[in-house]
Formats: sequence, C-alpha cells, structure tokens
Amino acid sequence: MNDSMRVEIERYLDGGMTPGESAAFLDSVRRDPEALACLGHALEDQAHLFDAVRAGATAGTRRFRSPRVRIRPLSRPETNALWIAGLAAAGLFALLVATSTSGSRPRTPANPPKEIVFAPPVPVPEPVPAPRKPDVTPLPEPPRPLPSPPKVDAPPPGPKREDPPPPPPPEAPKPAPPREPVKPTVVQIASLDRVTGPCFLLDGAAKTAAKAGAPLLSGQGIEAGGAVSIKFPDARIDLVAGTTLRECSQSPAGRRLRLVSGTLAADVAKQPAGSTLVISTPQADVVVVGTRFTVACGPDSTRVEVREGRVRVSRPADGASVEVPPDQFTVVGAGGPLEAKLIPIDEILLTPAQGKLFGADWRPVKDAEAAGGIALESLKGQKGPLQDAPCVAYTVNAEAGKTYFVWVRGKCGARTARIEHDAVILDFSDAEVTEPPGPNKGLTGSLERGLFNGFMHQPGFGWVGGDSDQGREAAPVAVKFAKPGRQTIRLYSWESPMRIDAIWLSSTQKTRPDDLQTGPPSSKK
Amino acid sequence: MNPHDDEHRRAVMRLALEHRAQLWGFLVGLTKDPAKAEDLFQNTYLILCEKWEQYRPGTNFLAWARQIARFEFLASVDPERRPFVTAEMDVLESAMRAVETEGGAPSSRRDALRRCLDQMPQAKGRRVLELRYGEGLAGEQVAEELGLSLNALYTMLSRVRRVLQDCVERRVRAEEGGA
Repeated sequence: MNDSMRVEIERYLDGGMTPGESAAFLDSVRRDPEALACLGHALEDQAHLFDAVRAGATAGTRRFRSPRVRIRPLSRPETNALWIAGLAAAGLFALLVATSTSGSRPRTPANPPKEIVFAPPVPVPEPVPAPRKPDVTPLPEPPRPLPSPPKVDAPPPGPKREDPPPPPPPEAPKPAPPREPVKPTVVQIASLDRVTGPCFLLDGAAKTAAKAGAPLLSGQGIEAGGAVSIKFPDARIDLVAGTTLRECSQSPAGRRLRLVSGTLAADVAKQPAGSTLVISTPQADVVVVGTRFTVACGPDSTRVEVREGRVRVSRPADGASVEVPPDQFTVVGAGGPLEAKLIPIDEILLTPAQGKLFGADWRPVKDAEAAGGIALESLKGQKGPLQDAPCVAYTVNAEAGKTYFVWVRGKCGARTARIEHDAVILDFSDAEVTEPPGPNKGLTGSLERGLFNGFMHQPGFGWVGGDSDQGREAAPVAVKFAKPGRQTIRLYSWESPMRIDAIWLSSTQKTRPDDLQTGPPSSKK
Repeated sequence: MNPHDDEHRRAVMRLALEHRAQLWGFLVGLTKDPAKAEDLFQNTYLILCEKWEQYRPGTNFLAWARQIARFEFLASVDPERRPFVTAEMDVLESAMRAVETEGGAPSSRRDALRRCLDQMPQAKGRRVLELRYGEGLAGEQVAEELGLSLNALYTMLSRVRRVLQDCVERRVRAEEGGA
C-alpha cells in the first residue's frame, strides 16, 4: 500500500474529506485488502491512542471538544429537601451495576453487596474493620477507561468466527502479567472536601468520624449527618444532611456509588469511553455520561434531576428506562411510566458574570457593597432608540406562560439630583411585559420592555421592581415568555451613573425583597 | 436469575469492555467526533448490557455489538443522510473484520501500543499525538499549533502511525511466540 493511501486514511479519520471524496476513498479502500486492514487497525488504535496519550497527560491539559462541566456549589438543602420527599430512585446504572439479577433488587443496607459487576473486582480488598493501614494509593489521574489493575481476564477466545466453538468456560479471572505492581492495595477513589456536622465513614460494620481532607477508599461509604462534599478527580458529589452512601467502589469499568437514602448532587465531567460512573439506589440506576444532576432517594421512589448533560435512568424491576436531558427530571417509583419532564423554573438570578457586554456603556467594576463584590456600571444613559444601543445581554432558561416578577438590584451613583440618574431598562425578547400603572408607564416604547426607576431611594444597593419614583413598594414589572427554553434579556442604561449587581425573576416574590438579600434564598452563600 | 444466566450476563459485560476499543473506534470512524463517539458508545454499551440474553456465547460478539452500534449511530444521523452513511458503515465494518481475524487479545494490542508509545522519542511525532489524542484537537488545530500545513500533518501522522503499527505487531508477535 502506498504512502498516499496512508495519508488519505489520516485525512479521512480527521473528517477532512468532502462527502464525494469520502465516498471515493472508501470505494478504493474496499477494493484494497491492505488498505482495509490499515484502516481497521487505525480505527481500533484510535481508542488506544486516546486512552494512552490522555493517561499520560494531566487533567488540566485536556481540551476535549465536549464541554467540561464546571463544578459549582451544591444547590441548597432546602431545594433538595423537596426532592427527598419523593425520591430515591437513583441509580440507574442498571446495566452495569446490576446486582445479582435484573428482576430482583432486594438490596437492603444490611446486606451491602459488593457487586462490582464489571470486570472482576481486582483492587477491592475485603472490607477490613477500622484500623486499617493499607498502602493507600493516591487519587488516580482522571479516569482512564481501563486503569492499571489489569484484571483483564482472558475472554473466551471463541468469538472470532460465526461457527460455534464450545462455549467459553467462564474461567476464574486469570491475572494478566502485571505491567505495574499489582498487590493488594486499597485504592483511594476520592477525598472529602468539606464536612459539616456529624458525618461518618462506613467501612463494613465499622464507623469512623469523617473529616475534611480524609481519603475515601474504594469500598467505603458515608453517613452524612451534616453536609459532605466528595471530590473525585473528575467529579464532585455533594451529600445533604441525612444521606447515606453505603458504598463507593471503583473497578476497571468505572465507579459505583450506592445511595440508600437521602439526596446527592453531582457535577461530573464527561466520562471517557468505557468508563462509567453509576449511582444506584434501591429503585434505579443512574448512569452518568458527564452531567450535572441530582438524585434524591426516598423510601418508595427516586427523583433524578438533570441540569446539564444527560443521564439514563432505568428501573431494574421491569427494565423500563428513560433518558433525561438537561433541565428535566424523572421520578422512578414502583410502577407507572417512566418519563422525563421539564424542571419547573421558578427563580432566575442573573449576575454580572453571566452578562455579555455589547458596546461601551457598561463595564464590570469591583464594589465591596455589591453581591459577589462585582457590579456592572454604566456612566452614560441612552435617550434614543434602544434597538442597537449598547447593553448587557443575558441568556437564560425560563418557562413559557409563567408569570415572573422582575426585581433589579442596583445603586444610584449620583450625589445630586439623584432622581434624574437612577433608571435602567430591561428588554425581554419574545415576551409579554406588564408594567404597573405609573407616570412613566410606556416610556420604554415597547411592550417587551420594563423601566426600573427609583434607585435613588436608598444610599447603597437596593431592589427596584419597576417605576418606583413614587414609592419603593410599587408593584413589580411582570414578564411572561412566549416560548419555553432559552430567553434573551437585555439591560440598557437609561439614567446614569448606575451600578447593577443582580436581576431576579421570580414566580413567587411579589413584594420588594429586603435590600440586603442578594437573590432567591437558594442562592445565598 | 439463575447462576448460569448471571454468568452469561457478566460474560457479555466483560466482552463489551474487552472490545471497547473496536467498538469505540468504529463509532469514531463514523462520527469523526470523539465526544459524539463516546456518547454513542455509552448508549451501545447500555444496550448490550440490557440485551445480554440475545448474545449466544461462542458466536462473534463483535459482529453483534457492532450491529447495535450501527443502529445507535443511524439513530443519531439526520434521516436524509442515512442512505449515504450506510455504505460508509459497511466499509468500516469490513475494515474492522479484516483485522479481527489477525488474532491476539485486544488487550495485547493495547498494552503493546502503550509500550511503543512510551518508547517513542520525544519529538514532533509524540507532540503530534499529544495534541491530536491527548488534547482532542482536530487536524486543523494541530497543524496550526505546529506550524504545519494540513497535508504535512497528515503525512506526519501517517508515518507515526506506521512506526507504531510496526512496533505493535512486533511486540504482539513476540508475546504470542513467548506465551
């Protein structure tokens, strides 16, 4: 086979061919057995190369095209508490984890099956009671699909042809020649990043106090009397108070967390091919591909909410499953259809960091009084048409048809004649905006805009819900979006100098929030 | 579930993991997008584990698994494009079948490749692989980073791949000869 064909193979693998070129290339490969073999090897080696080269790289240098999920603070327990009431089902993981049988999952906390259903559980030693001083291997590098313990038992050598050789005897795992030292070690799979309240590490029957910074070893569990954050190389799992993770284990195929009660929130980077993170509960298995999601496990059901990425949730009892995309949830109970539904969006908080600046009217500034220490400052007001005026644009998800009351938190920067220097306008694309009665109603010139005026009333940052020149307790502007999903909101400077540090859309906050409040209760730090 | 079924199911899962590289490679060859290939592989893997009973032990596992991967890929493709990708799938499948008969466990090739990579001199070849596979950059981005034309990059990649392939085949033969 000549070199030009090899070069063409590279071009093909890179996606650098037009459809016509691709068709011609494939036709010539099809006729050339050597080229066919070369392409076959190249395809197989793609996976090996990704694994091997990435295994040598640090996590920070990975620039995989798929979006990395940012770790963010856990949503507050108050929010999770709502889920606890109904949920439990976590676990999806159905396929992999599967306990003994797909039909019967009578797992109880008293019988923690150490079922690493994947490849034979190599690095997991027997659970040793508390005083264990093992060789604790440090946290592994960001997961490679088949990490070191090469428990790659020889597969049934059969499957190469269609003819049926004798069924492969499922022989006991035969240890492959060790590439790296293989010895019975306890593998550290994570560490406890934050521990508040009485929390314990579970190790079989033993229970020891959990402290921040402590390692979490494969096979151990956590009983969270308070809140606990578990940090994996590529994920963060937050447990709310009252949550019990019976076991966290790691095998060549991935990791498995067994949630027996309570709620966890997960923020997980995209998992490499062949490696999975599974959260299993008595009712369901949750297979994580790379997502931000929450699982709440209750006595009769499990609720899974996905914020980013997607998750497949299945009910092992009957094999039903559903894929839950972003901003949707599902509840897995004993029966009934499994379906994904949109997560209600009741509160939306926009901060300076989320805004995209257009033009030169607005700029971010440090302000110790601002929420988060940063505000958007405008030194110039717009008096003409706003169509193409400088602004700050926000993109948010919202429900259609729901009434959101709008509050803007800002500070008037003028020292004199403050009444003339304290107004901004918000534009809501494709929405119906209702301004309360007032002298300036309709000033914005559009039914999709609202005027927020009256920041002069307080010396520092405070909330304004509309045209508040007459008084601070005026009814707020209300907005209803025409379509669900992504919305664009634009902030324009009308009277300056002004600083804005938060915009809050709420389906419940009908009265002016306290000036010290910086957003909905769940956003408080 | 009786123990035999349980063992069968575990065997299917083991095979799926064992042949991850072939399945994923097949999907990335079709999608040209490692991230999308990963998603499709995950789906394929889940289905393989769900439908373990359909696999008859002793038959060609990869053929069965690739069939499922094909369906997953087709489901992700715009319906109007589906007739055009079928031919491509057939050729890639033939390519992978052509190397399946060469023998050797998948793990042998993987291990051999890793050793060959370790021995590769720290030169442009290694850098190219780091950018292409370590950081997941497309060819155009790698070429730009290295100051090469796209064609020069493909030429370099083809040479690196050839060197690695020769090394891997020598190692696999040596291991099999010694085993």
